[in-house]
Amino acid sequence: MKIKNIRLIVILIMISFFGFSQENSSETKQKGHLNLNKFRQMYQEFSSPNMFRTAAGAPGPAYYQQQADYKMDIELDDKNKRISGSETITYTNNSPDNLEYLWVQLDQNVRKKDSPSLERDGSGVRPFYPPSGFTNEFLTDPFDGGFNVEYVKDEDGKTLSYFINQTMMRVDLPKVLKSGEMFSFSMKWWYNIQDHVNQDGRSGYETFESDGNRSYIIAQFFPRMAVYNEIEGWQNYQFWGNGEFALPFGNYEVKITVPADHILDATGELQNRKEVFSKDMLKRYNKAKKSYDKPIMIVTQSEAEETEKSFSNNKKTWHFKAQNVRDFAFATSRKFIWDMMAVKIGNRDVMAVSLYPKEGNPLWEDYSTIAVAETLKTYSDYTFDYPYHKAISVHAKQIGMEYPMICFNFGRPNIDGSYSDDVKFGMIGVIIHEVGHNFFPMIVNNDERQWAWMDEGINTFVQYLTEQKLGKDYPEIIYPNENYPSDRGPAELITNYMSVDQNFLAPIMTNPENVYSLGPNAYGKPATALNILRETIMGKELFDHAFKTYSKRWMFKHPTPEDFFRTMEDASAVDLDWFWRGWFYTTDYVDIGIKEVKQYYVSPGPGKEMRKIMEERGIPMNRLRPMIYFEDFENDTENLKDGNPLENSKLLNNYLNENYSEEEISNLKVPKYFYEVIFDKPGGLVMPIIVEYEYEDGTKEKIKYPVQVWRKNDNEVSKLIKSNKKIINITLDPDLETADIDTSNNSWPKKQEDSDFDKFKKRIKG
Amino acid sequence: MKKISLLILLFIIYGFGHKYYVSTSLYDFKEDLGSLQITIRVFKDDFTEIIKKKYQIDLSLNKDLNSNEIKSKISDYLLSNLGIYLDNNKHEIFYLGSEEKNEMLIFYLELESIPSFKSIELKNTILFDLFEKQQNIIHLKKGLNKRSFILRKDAPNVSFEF
Repeated sequence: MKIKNIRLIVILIMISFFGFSQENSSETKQKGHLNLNKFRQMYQEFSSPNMFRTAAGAPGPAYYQQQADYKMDIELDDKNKRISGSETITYTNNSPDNLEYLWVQLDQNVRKKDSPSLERDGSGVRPFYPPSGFTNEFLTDPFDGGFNVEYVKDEDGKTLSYFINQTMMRVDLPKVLKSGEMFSFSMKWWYNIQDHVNQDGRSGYETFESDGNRSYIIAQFFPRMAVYNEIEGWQNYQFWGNGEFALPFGNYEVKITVPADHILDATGELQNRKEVFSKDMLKRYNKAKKSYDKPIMIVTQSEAEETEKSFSNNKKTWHFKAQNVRDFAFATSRKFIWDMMAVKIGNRDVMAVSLYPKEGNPLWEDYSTIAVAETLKTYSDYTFDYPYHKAISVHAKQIGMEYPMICFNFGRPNIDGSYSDDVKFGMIGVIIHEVGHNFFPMIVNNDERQWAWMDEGINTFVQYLTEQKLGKDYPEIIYPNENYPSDRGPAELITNYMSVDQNFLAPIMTNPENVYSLGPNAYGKPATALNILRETIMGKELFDHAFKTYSKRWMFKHPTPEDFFRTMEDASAVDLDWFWRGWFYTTDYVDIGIKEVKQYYVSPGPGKEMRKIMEERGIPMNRLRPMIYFEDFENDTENLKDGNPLENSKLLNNYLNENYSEEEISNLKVPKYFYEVIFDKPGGLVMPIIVEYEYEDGTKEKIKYPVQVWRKNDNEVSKLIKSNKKIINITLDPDLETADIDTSNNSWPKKQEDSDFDKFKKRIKG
Repeated sequence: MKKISLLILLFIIYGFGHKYYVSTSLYDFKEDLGSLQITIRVFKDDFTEIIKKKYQIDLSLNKDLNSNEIKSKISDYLLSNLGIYLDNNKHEIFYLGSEEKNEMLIFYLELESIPSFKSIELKNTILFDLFEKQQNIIHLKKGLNKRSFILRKDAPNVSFEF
């Protein structure tokens, strides 16, 4: 190396240090800070991995879960709208801990007259009341709900000591339940079923004035074990109404006695079909088991309409057994129409079943069982083969709720049988969603009381995938739409929610009781986040594999959010800490924009910027080693900007001639257009920068800069684009993949966008 | 100027089976135009029910919400349930029309030729006559000022000072 150059380099280094400290002489001293980089790993947010749950997001060598088995005898008193029952619970303590007491959940107590949950929201005096409202609030007695516990006894029949705290009951064990041991106890109780249409609730009855019958959707009807684990100890957070359920797995044997003319279906395998089915029903059932393309009616509408008049005083008992389920529910009514279809899942047959009164037709006979079947197939593709033998969809007014193998869904046409698209797609969507819940949380069994999003968000995401698949498989159902009109999933549908007043927002990782808009928070936003991960961040192949890995790892087990977050990263080699933190732990939103676009040309001599640096550091021209210089278009005084690099730079020409052959030179592509695109990020979330460059000749090019471009500067990043063709348009996120809440800064040159209001006004004024 | 959408879309909660009775109204004061642009979003089935009750018209059967007959009934209902007072002066509201998106109805209304104001009082009792639990969320935008409030049947008015 020439001596002259070494000296120059040394001078430059010295000057750069000197120059730097000169620029930085300000009076206020800066404060230090923690590592706030958006790409920092989540070591502090996550628990330390341990023997129960590994750092890879899988169950560890010491992973355990408790088991709760139930033997129950239940009777439904139709005339008095009451359930009475007795049960024996066998609880297996698989934990390494010794337990002094057990907690049992009494969810019906949320409806006790004195339940604090009635008062958990604010209210005030109103200056006026309609007569029904006044009567309900001031004249009538409040609904007498809640469990009436008649006894709690051990297996020898001795009374056990217990204490009820609202919806949680503590059973004091006569002696410590050691690790590995089992404890059996029995309870007897009754409670009044409430009218779920006029009072709140996820279960209850509906009275049909026209025929005087009721239909019952029964759940949370028995005292059941709470979860004990190494995360919460006992999960005994009260049931206030929003946070749903945390439940252990176990085996159930349940006998349900109802009026003899009722049609009933429930969680589990029916043990006494010959006793409760007529000969005709048995024949049709056997036919349904072989019918893979259309449902077979087990009870027809005309038969149900006849039964509506019978009001039998006799009773029948339905006997069910279910293995490895976390809950039990059933539906019963003399109004029910029943249809079933067989579905091939893997190498097994699963029955898709629908139960509905005539008020659900024609919508229900047309679409319910098909929606069930499509859900079972699609979810099985993305996770694991549905392991149970059936999935039931029950018609219930204004309800959408899920239990193992059975769910309750809304969707009722007008009295004349007509229905709007809204009602149709609402029904299909809710059936997909509730049947989908069999996978999350009935089988991948997370704690819903604490993390509603973990099953609601993940389920809503797979619901979206299933809806889109159904639209492709059954174009006639969605006609004239080309794609199923999903209302959750695509990134652009969440931007309204995410741009709302921050006072109304909570991060996804928040207890559901404390969230303002539970729908978008626990359903929409996580579902959209997963969709963005799949479509834009990870790609379908990597995502689907990691998602299946997670589902299979935690099938019939209890995962936590971290197990999900860790698994998705572990199985894909895509760093996702920045994504989980941004989308799940903050209320940040996405807003990336094009701040400025500058154009440059190769100039023969140093440009303005270069000359400024030389002046500041006292470097004369003759000390400068020959370089190829860039100059900003704005500073062009000699009209050189339209020349290409070979024209403007003699140095470049000489260099090429000295080092390349004539043929090689003629093959070089010499870019004429140099752009510096400066992206800024008014929103907190980091996302990849997806840019579409449109050239003068009409061609377009889409480039995705990885999210890591933001790692050193969270506010601004520049990219130098070289091109042979002139760029006339630059568009950020052209396909709306990133949930950017403000697209007015996504274009260069800037597009003047009309607000929704202006667009509408223009349209009506013509 | 950044377009910040301040509207909350609250969806039917599938897992809970419980509908939220909510509407959202954005009152956007455009100083340069001297007008107050109002955008109101309600659940279509709720609004259809009240119009059926009051005017015996079924919106779900009629495709054109902006036909003369339907437009006048909607305008009638909205105007009788909305009130705007600028510096204690009542102002007349004009109903421009509506459109349908997903399960929502969006109404566009406007106050024209209004001067800048120091205080504004808003009354919004839409759907209070149908549901006890109806909540009407109000967002007001005046320049850089953003205010939000929730109106309920027992408290249907709110005032803001600037």
